[in-house]
Amino acid sequence: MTGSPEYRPMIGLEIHVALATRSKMFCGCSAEFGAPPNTNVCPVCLGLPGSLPAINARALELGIMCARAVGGQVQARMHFERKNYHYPDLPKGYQISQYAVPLAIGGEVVLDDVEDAERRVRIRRVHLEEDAGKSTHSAETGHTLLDFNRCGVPLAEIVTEPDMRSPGEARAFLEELRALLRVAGVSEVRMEAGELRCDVNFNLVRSAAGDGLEGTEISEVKNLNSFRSVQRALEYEVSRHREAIRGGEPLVHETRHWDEERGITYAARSKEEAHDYRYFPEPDLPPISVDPDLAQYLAAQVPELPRARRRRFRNEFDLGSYDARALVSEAELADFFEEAVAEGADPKDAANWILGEVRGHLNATGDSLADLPVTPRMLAALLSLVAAGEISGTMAKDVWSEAVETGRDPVSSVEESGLRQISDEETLDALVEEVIEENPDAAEEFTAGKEKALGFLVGQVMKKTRGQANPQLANERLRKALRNGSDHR
Amino acid sequence: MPEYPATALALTEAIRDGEMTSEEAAAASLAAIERFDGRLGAFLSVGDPVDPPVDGILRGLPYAAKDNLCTRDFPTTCASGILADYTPPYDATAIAGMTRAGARLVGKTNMDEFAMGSSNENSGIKPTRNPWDLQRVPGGSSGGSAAAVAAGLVPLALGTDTGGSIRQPASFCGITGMKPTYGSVSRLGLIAFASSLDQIGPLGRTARDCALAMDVLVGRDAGDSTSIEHPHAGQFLQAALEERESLRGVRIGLPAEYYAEGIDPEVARVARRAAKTLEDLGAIVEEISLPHTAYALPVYYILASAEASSNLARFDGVRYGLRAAADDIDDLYRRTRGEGFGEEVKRRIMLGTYALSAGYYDDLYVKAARVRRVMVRELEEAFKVYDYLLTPTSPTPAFCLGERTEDPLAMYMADLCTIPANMAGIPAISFPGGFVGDLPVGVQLMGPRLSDAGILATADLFQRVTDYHRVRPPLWGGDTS
Amino acid sequence: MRMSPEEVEAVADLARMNLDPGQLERMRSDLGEILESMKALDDADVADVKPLFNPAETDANVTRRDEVVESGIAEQFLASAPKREGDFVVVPRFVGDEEEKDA
Repeated sequence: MTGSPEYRPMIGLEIHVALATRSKMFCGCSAEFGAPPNTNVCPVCLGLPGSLPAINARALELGIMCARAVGGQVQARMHFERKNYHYPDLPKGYQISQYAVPLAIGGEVVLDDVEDAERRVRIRRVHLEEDAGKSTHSAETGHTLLDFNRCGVPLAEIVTEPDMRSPGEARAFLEELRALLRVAGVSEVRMEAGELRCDVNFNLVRSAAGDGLEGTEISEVKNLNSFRSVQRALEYEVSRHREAIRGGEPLVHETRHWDEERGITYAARSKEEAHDYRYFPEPDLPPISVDPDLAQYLAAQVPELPRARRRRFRNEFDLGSYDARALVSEAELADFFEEAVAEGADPKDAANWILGEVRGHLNATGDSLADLPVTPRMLAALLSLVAAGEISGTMAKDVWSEAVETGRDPVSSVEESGLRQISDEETLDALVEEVIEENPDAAEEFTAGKEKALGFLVGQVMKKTRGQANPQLANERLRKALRNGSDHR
Repeated sequence: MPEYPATALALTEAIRDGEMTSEEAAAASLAAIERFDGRLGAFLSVGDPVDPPVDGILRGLPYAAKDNLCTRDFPTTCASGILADYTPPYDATAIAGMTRAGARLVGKTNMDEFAMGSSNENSGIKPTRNPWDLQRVPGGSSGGSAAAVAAGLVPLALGTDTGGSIRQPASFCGITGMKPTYGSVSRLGLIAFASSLDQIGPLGRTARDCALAMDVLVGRDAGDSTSIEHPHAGQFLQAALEERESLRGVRIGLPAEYYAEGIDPEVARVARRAAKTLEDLGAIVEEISLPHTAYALPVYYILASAEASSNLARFDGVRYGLRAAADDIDDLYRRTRGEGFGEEVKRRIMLGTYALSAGYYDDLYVKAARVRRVMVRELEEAFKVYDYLLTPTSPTPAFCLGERTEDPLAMYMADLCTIPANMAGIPAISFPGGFVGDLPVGVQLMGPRLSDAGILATADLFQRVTDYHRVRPPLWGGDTS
Repeated sequence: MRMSPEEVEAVADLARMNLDPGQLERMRSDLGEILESMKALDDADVADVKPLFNPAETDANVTRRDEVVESGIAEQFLASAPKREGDFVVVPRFVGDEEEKDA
């Protein structure tokens, strides 16, 4: 050993999240995704001469809720600033953003179950800004086509400290963040609609003399729009930086782009030299004061956050971490679960059922739970029939499928179709007697020690009841009757 | 052709009383433009009003608007090549308000490109001439509006004032021009020069005409987040018309710095004489000192240019206006902006970009904003003692075309006395106070925030006892065709 | 306060604005003079003064309700754009974040 410590990844993220408003940040245009090109536009978001911005109150509220969801300290007085740069999809030649005084400072997101340990990712700041438009390259003409629909859509930018130590951890953070934002109602975080985009800052570091760190020059990979891309781009950067260290090549601090198909990052060709954004306070918008009462009210609107809920599911319902995580990651599943338990379902049975049957169906069909006609009460009733041994698991699945299709109450299905199991000992004992009398040979064989003969006799009981006998109970009663019989003989 | 009434107020009364129709009023205005504007160059576009007038307090009144106010029915170019032929898809709130009050727009007036200038010589289209002397400038940047009113082409015009752009041309052209309290008139649809300083206001022959227009223009607009509820909205004319015998008890300060070096002594004399008139009306007039006035020019040029550099970034050839031929996007920006902007606009964009850039932001931009507060505080202190301040409007009467074009700093001096009101967002009016030789000279009355009605009424009282505002330029009376 | 030609060019570059050599030289001398006149601010002792960016300093928040309003200007906007292709505004191809996406 030379004594030199190993290099490890140091990762920070900047995440842009589209806030769930109806209209844009500074104008009344619809913020809806997917409209035909250049239809959700007006003088303000097109930056037409003479137009002026006006702050969307709801965007401000959602921004505050977003900040609270990551534990940020909402600033009592804040203002917007202009970030000046020229880009074809930035109509005003500046983006209205926040700089000197952001919406919120500080906060942290705790990741549990990552490599068997609890990890904390500190949040540096959360600020509000407007989105830019979209440019696409036309292969036909070689031109760039501009669509300004997205211009002015409200975004919260969440900036982390460089606290993540592996690509997997970065991904875990993003998954946790997505769950947080969904639960808080801040954003639907539809990835396919570009509602969450991520820039990563990456380098390799190791401890150096004193308490310092030394490391490679930082790479900034911009505009990643899936968690998988983030992880893959980071994995690529880890090996690129490691190779550079091995080969003794110097790296430069640069902006890079991710090529999904080739699975590589490449240096941005546009001159990213001294970006001088010339921030200054937006003179068209007076400063904003956040009333502490409003901040408190909005904080109260943020429901229980995933980590707390997971912990509660583990403690209160004795669920394992996998089940707790899986349920909580989809708020509607977790809600359904809690309601079913409140209706009397056994927590473990309910969790198994929801993560198996329910989630399976949703994944297969793409439906949302809210679209299905089943209720937590139905599930609770069905599960208690199973628990009481009144119907078999297979039967339960059948009637549940029917309920999912038709909305028919599964318990009524059981009753009406006569599917309920015969679990009544007296009824069964009478049948058992009949079967023993009709099959003396088999009964003889069993008493002589031939276990297999019992299976035949159970089958006869089932046949007589057209399958409705509880097989386990039939088995028990047969054994008992045969044992008594032999004693008598 | 019916005789053209002298004031907007008289004209609206004549139309209301049936002595003249709104069609005749518009025709008279268009005929005068046709006859005189070839020489004046006050208009960039002219046209018959399309719609019949709405019934309101300005019913049938023809008016003109500076070409940086967005209009659906006329191009809006800011006298710049970069917006040549551009027609906005919406009317500025001020324009819509005028229409709702019954006024009819007959044309858009010439200006210094993007309102940057004090002589209209920075127009990218053509210069405007002063109706009192065609060799002289009308002032700027609302020079077209001022010349048009002074020459009687329209009874009323709208201008914008960022550092004196309504008041200084009003002074040069012998008319009355008002810059309202910041936020009183919505800036929505005003193509921004410096957002924290810009304000729309009226230019007319009299303070009463300005008050009449203010009744229409002033009001809170949800579309402009810096606009305010004005306590006297809709009551300006009423305040101006009120019967008043005197200015007894009114205290007026004469800040020494506005009468000092750099001010033409003849002009200072006109302002002192105006002060004497107000004193004769009962006001208490005292000399005061506002030492921070010395910082006005540098602070203004840093802050206004910084905001302008950002406000004008949107003119890039991508979405509207001029687009220069180019192979790549960067070249497209550079050429479009290089070809589309005139020299003075470029100079201010350069200065503003520099003042905001890394390394200079604190020393130039932030420092200027700190000094701005000190200046504003000084004015606020003065207004604890004095109701109004009376000063010359501009250091000199109208100068000759070409006289200052080679020297930007000399040109900037023309705004020396008007800039402080914009810095503080306070109302200020310029009205004719006398003559230097054959040239009219305006005096400026400033008041504290929201004292718009008071300064209009005070200017009106001055105009009840003086005739300077009734004197017309020779162009109108003489044979010029 | 003199600016070097390189400084002037760097500022013009930030502002994305072509200046021909003559303009560049005039700009250099004009800006130099203007900046020289700005030195008047040097003796203003304002380090402890809060900057005033806007005379409309208010305590009341100015916001709008989250309501969708159709502008109805889309077609007019596209029609007046310097270059249009279908429902898009067109610019020469540029290298950027999204260059890999093809329409």
